[in-house]
Amino acid sequence: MKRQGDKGEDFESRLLGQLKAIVAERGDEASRREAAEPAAAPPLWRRRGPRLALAGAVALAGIVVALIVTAGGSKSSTAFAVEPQPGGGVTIKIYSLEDASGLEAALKEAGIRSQVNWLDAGMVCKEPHFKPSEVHPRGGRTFGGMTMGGPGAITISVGAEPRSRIGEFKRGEISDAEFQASMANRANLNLDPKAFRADQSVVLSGAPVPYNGDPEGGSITKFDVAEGTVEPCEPVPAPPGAGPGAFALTPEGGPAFTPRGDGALPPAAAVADLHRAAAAAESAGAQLAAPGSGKYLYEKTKVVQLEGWLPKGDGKGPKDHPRYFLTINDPKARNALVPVTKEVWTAPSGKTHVRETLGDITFFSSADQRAWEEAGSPPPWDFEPAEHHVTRDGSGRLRKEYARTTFRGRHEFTYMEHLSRLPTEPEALRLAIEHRPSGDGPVAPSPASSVRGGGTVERLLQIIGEPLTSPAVRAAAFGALAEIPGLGFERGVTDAAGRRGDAIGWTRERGFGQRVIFDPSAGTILADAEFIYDAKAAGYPNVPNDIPYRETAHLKAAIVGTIR
Amino acid sequence: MEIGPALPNPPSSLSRRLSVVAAREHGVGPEQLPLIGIDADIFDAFYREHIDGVEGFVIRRVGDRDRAADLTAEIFLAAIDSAHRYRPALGAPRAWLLGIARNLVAGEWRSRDRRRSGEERLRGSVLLDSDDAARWDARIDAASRSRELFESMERLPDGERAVLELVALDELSLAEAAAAAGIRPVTARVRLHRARRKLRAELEAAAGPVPDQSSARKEDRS
Repeated sequence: MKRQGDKGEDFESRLLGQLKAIVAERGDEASRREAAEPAAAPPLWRRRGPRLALAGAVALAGIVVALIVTAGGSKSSTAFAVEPQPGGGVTIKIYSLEDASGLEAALKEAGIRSQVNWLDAGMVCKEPHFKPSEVHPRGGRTFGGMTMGGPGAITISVGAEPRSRIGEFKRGEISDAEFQASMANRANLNLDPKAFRADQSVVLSGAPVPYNGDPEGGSITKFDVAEGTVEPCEPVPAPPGAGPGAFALTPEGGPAFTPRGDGALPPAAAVADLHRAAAAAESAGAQLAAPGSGKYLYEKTKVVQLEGWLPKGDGKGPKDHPRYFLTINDPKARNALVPVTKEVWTAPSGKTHVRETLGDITFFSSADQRAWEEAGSPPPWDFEPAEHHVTRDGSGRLRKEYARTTFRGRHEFTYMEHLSRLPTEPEALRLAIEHRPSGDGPVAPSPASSVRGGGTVERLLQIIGEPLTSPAVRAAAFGALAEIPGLGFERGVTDAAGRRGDAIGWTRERGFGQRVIFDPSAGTILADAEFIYDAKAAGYPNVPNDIPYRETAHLKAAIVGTIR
Repeated sequence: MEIGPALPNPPSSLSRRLSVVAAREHGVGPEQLPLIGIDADIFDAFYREHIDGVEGFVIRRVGDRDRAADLTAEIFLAAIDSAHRYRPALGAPRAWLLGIARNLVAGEWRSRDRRRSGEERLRGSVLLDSDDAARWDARIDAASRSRELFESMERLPDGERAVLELVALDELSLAEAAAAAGIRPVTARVRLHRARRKLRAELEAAAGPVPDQSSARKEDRS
């Protein structure tokens, strides 16, 4: 539309800037809450695995659908299920497109002509193989196609919209939980056969993607409306630069993970360091137990976040209430790394007490640093005394303390039991987290650049990073990492707390990636980061490459009796 | 369960990326709408898709430039605030947004919303500069006939008026108008019929024929 090309200085652009700042702040608030209650696909740096709260899936209904626990992508699981709806029409719950011809037949029966393609990870149909079109279902909406992804099933309703229970919920006839469950089950997509012309059909193409450590735990499905003949799908590797709409999950196309490391380092060096870490982890002292009644899990971290300072607050926050220094990607902003020392006490109930202390802010250029100091060293938004309850510690640093009740609550420590049941032999551990049936015998590890291998690396690092993981499981995880070919590996890396270690890293999208630093002589994770490997591609033109977007250095974890 | 007030959880990075792409390619659909209150990129796509429509909606009703700018901002703020309550049953996103717009223009929402947020967060009019002002004045002039029509509907009962203005002024389809007004399509049809009949008698001489439904189909005006 016309305003998209404008340079951004008319009323509409200014209003958009203000509104986006408000939305970003609300999003931050929601993610702070979510950090405590992992929803879908918790990123590694949040370090929380399987407590997938259904609430997340509910909120995202339509994009990520409810987590469906199947037999780890086993071929025996039903690919889809058709349910007739009262009053006509059907809903089709699609777990996988593997049974392509069966699904085509089911859709045809419901009145929709289709072509269904199930591709290997990283493959797409060679374009063009049909003429794109669109349909106009009732309600004034246009449907020309969309891409959905995530774990679990996609639900399509054909010729019927499953009854919403919103009225019953409003009248208080059903509980919040029942309502949420009904929302989770509602269709992601409604197809109305009457909206389709005789020459129109649907093209569904899907491929597996990693989810929650299961390299094929999720899928991505592209829906299109075609007009006229649809040629058969010719699978080709996703082209470089293809967006997720074509399933490619990296700018390079193809692999979901691009390992990042020191190319000059021989793979044997990485293997040696990982074995050293495994041995160190094995001989490490006693395992942390979950806190008993009246005790707390105490975790101290140093979190370094990339933020932007806008001296004039231009366009961020309301006019009479501008924001100057916050987590924002604005080319006008002067970027700085903002360190915060964070202490969290978690009670067995999941109640937490949080203390955050602001450290020394470092800009990337000395001119910016000077300008900021001359402006009176204004603190980031999170520590703005006018906006938050902020005090100062003994050495004059800004500090915040607050209590928080987390949704994950009692789940916090039940996860430990899950970890304690994991195999303590490297290959068995890898097969377990890859959800491979144990009867299949040995399977060679997939390379770190592959969908399966990359997901496995991510999950293994997650396991090592959990403070409550047992020494034996941690050692097995290091051992399993050593077996994975093609790791992005680097030696002599410094973490946010200034400690040196080895790093394992990879990119997943547009210059953004993950980097995990571990200490090979102690067998522990020092820090994990969402990392900017290529600043321009990541949309930060004013910062150098190879900096953290957000790095968490793990300083201490212990069971303590008091908050102090 | 200890879930805070109904802010949806932010999407995972994969699904978020997919929805941003889908939003840019196909517009923000019902399944993504709940995210506009927490995801700046999806909001961006939503805003670009609807800003023209919202401005036009306001200008067809309000002749004062500053008030129109304030209302435009308030409409998007209200959408951000209430997106998490959106359900597809409330109508397509456009109809839902124009339903909000209509309530705000009618002054029904403002007091309630202010009370809740405790402060006036954003005044659109302070964002207008002289170039914008001239552009808006021209649009406001061009829409003067629409405003006359809008004002002439004042005598109609509110329920009938809602449907007629959405169909006649905003070119919504009957189904969309019903969704925006929060009523069933069949009710909307009855009310539209009644409103048109009443108004026709009054308007025919002065303002020409009232647009009928066939010329009021939704068109893609982007």
